[in-house]
Amino acid sequence: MKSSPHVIVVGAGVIGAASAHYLTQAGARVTLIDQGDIGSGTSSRCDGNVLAIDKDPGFDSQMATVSQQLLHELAQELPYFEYRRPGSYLVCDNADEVEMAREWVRQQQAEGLPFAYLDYEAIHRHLPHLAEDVPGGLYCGSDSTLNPLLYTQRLAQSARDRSADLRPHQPVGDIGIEGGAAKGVRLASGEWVPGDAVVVAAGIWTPALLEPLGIRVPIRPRKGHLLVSGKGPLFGDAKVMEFGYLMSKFGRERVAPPDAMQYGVALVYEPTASHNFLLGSSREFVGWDTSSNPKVVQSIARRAMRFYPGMKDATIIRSYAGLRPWTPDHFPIVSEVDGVPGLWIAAGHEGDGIGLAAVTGRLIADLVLGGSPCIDPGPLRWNRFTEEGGMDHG
Amino acid sequence: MAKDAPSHEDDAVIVCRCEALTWGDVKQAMEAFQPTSLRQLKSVTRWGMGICQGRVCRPMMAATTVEDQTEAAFRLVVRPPFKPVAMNILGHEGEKV
Ligand SMILES: Cc1cc2nc3c(=O)[nH]c(=O)nc-3n(C[C@H](O)[C@H](O)[C@H](O)COP(=O)(O)OP(=O)(O)OC[C@H]3O[C@@H](n4cnc5c(N)ncnc54)[C@H](O)[C@@H]3O)c2cc1C
Ligand code: FES
Repeated sequence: MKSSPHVIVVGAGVIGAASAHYLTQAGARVTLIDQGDIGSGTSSRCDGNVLAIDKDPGFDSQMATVSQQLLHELAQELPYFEYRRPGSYLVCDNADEVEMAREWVRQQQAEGLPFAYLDYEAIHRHLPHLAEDVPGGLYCGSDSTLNPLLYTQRLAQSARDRSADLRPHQPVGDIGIEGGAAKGVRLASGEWVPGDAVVVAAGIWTPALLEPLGIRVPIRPRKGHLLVSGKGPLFGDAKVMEFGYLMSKFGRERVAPPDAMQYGVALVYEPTASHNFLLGSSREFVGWDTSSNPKVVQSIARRAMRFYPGMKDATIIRSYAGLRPWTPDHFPIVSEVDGVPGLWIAAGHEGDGIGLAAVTGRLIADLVLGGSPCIDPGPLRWNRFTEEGGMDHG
Repeated sequence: MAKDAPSHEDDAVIVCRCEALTWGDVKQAMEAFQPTSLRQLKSVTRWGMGICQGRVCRPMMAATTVEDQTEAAFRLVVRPPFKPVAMNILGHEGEKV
């Protein structure tokens, strides 16, 4: 590859923007293209949690931890994006979950990660607003949070400051292959944009861009709802989630009300820098519809009040939904496509794209420009899926 | 020329009451991010994200010079539950009491 190659990044969500940031930092010339505005896809319909607390010990948590470190550096480098590092909590609903939470903490501590189990007294000391019957929980000290809208804009802005060409409102029609290699993209307007490499960072739209080339990747939209409170008293400064949704990792059944089970609702409480809080979350495969379903909204509100009875008087001012780019093993794809030199995929981050943007962008820059990769890219290869299905969590 | 060169007073005008956002804040964001739609401007300034959900400030924001002021860019602003609602009501709507 040339010393200063021209890399076309398709999709200016958090993943494309982070890729553009690291590529330009490493000296590449970048064109960052989006069909809408910068950050108009899933990256503006989500929370800003940067989590290690729910990652499996091993590669999963290593990737998350490297991303947390890179993000910490980005926060010094880029203008403010409401980055904070308050840690995060998982709270248990029942005795079965307490037992599994202890096991989870044991595994994570063995990996040297900053986890602590909190018994009844400790969890209520840390989180005084919790319902009295919450039996225990755990804490992860390295977890951080940010404003995902601002973060995406800051990354794109940083790339632009290093002369990246930002092309919003330009749908990419086709990826151009010549002599078996990726040579550029054709915009819907007809314009041909030539490049030395093409990175497809189009989130849930990635399969549609690759399909015409006969390349199939199993990324599917998995809907999630969020509720936004009005400004008012907060219920603590750190983010709190329920342990329940990790139960499948232990082959145990989660015990929760039918509506929560039906819509995949689990408590996520996230205080923001704007003195309000967000409540999540739901997980559903219901196609491409991003409208807000009142039944799901209600279920999220109920689940939140189970853990925080004092929220009954809090005000919800709106709700919205986004589509997570799901993959069968819940790892993203960050990889060149075999047999098509110059064609790269960076997509499929499901519920972790904000948190994993830094490590993904850095890895793309390493791989595309031929540097040594910041993490082992093996588990993220595009063709690792032999069939759809498999582990389904995260 | 006074019209083309806004004074410091103009900058101090609150354009979004709920989020305590001034015209100066908006101008700064326009310069830093060069947004191409009101939606993108919203994501960097929080205009329209307050308790009134933009009912008060939307006309004011239409005075900005972003390109995309289409119906769609506005439609994204108001989202259910449309009116602020207390969580205990939201959580028990549709149930017999
Ligand atoms: C409710 C909810 C809560 C979440 N909470 C968190 C969280 O707390 N922490 C976390 O880490 N993650 C969270 N996520 C997940 C996170 O939002 C996603 O993983 C992430 O935003 C994906 O980023 P992306 O850049 O891959 O996709 P997107 O942001 O969707 O970007 C893809 C871009 O590609 C563009 N595009 C598509 N097709 C074309 C084309 N043909 N031509 C040009 N451009 C095109 C789109 O317009 C879009 O802007 C959450 C998701 C949801 C839904
Ligand atoms: S005045 Fe802007 S949201 Fe209410």
